[in-house]
Amino acid sequence: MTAAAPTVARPRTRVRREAPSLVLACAQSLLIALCAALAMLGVMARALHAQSSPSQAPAIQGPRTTPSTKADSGIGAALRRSADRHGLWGSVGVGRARAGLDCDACSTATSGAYAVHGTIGVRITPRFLAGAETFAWLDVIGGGVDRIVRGTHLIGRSYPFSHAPVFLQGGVGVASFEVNDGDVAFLTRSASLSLAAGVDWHVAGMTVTPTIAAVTTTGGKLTSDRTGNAVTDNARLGLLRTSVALSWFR
Amino acid sequence: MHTHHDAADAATTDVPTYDRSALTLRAWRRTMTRMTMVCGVSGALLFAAGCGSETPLAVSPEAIAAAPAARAFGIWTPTSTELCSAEVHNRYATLGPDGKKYPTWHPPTDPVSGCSFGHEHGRDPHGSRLYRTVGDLPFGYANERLDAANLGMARHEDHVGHKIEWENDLKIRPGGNAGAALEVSCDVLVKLHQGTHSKDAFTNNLHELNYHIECSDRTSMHVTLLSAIGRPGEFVSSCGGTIQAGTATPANAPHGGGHRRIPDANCILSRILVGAGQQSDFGSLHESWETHNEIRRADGHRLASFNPYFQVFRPSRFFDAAAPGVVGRPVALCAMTIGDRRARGNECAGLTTTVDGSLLSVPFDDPRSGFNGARRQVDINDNVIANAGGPTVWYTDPFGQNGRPEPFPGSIRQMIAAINNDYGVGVNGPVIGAGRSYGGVGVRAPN
Repeated sequence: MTAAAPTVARPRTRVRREAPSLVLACAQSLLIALCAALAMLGVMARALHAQSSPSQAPAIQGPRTTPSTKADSGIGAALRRSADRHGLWGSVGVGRARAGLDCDACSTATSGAYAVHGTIGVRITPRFLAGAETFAWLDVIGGGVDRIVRGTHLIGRSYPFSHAPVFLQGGVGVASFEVNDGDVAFLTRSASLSLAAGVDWHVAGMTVTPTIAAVTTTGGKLTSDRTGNAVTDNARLGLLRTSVALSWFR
Repeated sequence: MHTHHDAADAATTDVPTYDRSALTLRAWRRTMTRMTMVCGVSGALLFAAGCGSETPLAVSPEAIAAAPAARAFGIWTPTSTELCSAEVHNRYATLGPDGKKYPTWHPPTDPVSGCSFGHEHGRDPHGSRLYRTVGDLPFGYANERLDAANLGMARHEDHVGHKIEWENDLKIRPGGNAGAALEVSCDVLVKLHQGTHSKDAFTNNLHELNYHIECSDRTSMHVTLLSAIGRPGEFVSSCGGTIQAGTATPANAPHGGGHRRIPDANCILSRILVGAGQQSDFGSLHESWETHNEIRRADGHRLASFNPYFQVFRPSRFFDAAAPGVVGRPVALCAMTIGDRRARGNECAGLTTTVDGSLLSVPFDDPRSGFNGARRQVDINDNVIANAGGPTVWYTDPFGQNGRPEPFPGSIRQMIAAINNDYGVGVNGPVIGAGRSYGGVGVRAPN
């Protein structure tokens, strides 16, 4: 038998949190992804603007070019120009994923749960796309415990085959893993990598994109939010996701 | 790696070390035998390459023999002619950090002569992964340091009460639902002086505790102290309530957290002596010493705390204010009747005889009696460290207080990882030792 330890009562200053909703987590991540994408597109637009000067030939065939004016400047304009010249691309998907945390002091158990992801970007060449992706995974184990994975990556997608809409995708960014019972949470966040493969199917005027993706992090501190103390300095996230997305290419 | 312990240096500076090399005479001989066998076959090159590197380097028997004896050394004497001699027993010795020789763990039966010591010290520490760091535990070192601490008190304990328990790769899951994401693996090696055969613990709350733990979350403690378990002069009855049992030695022993839960006659008699058709509750013969220990700096900051609970099943004593020496013997209950109430159960089988129509029990120290305190377990509870950025070596008084980076008279060297590991969730209850019994051949009370 094990009796209760005679520990000194510890004041609990942390207010019990409501379990985070999946929608909120996704919205937050999507906002981050959108900002990242806009920033990237702004940079790209400036580069493309330089390329569209009379002394340079257009690198890629586009539907129409719009002369640049002083009044038509800024990120919005750059986005429009980039879209006109190269085409925008985006997708929203849902699927299932297994995720777990690996460290010297972590449970080895992984669990499966629903995952969502969203992507936005531009077509750099007919067979190479760049953009930003955000993803989230929420597993409610029971007993009021949430396990949450969130991440945002800058991605590159390549269609290596001219005769098949199969793509390979890689990304770098930041991902986090949080386990939270509403009373105390353990969180790790670190640089992350993703690899994915999928195919674009054109079905009834839509593009359906089944994808398999893997995400891992480089490792970071796993910290208690109540005390700020780290359980370990090297907690690594692993996630394997299968999903189906609706994609748009303009 | 281990380095040779410089006993002379330690004696001079009074600086104990944990990474000393300490080995019993017996272990030294065993090591030398292995080295001879292996190295004789493998050649001098293999010998030079690292024979015997798995165990702490030996301190020669001559060095131990020449060392001054601590108070704890040589205090055991056989209570029966069938037991080993004191001379054989004293071969199991080690050097303490202060350069004195102390008794240490030995098997219940001497493997050379085959004689029995009649008592045991728990699990053989040589199998613990921490043994390579800790070496042999010097029994009574903290008690010895109290003499040198000039605190106006002394506390020495008997020999048989030193009990070792350990486990490698103990899985600890922090409490709370979020804690399910964690699984901390620990190596634990503990020793408490937990005598359960005499009246000592009825009143005395100071008991030597060696506590060694290393975990995968970087938790690391190597601590030796006199644990103040509850209040002196009293204990908590197994049935609840506090019993004032007498005067403690020392009378000015500090009050500690936790308590010593010990069976008393009022509680036991009603549970053991039962009417026809009932079974005696021998499980009530159970002691639980629930410790709360802290290592504090001189300014009061708590560097570490830990709360192991030490439990003993079927001890050879209970508190009986009406008995001689206030010690009652469970085995005597096997022959006791109150009306139609008597002890009923297998625990008393073979422990009674009828002489002239009277039912008599075997003596309390009969090796056939299972009431010998040889079944134990330890609950490993919170191990909290608040030493981020601090030194990993602290010197405290024998109670774990007044910690300083430098040694001082009577101080004990404590090693504490330079981390903070309070995650806001508790860690309670992994048990080590459950299911093991150390009651081998010849083991008997007093044990």
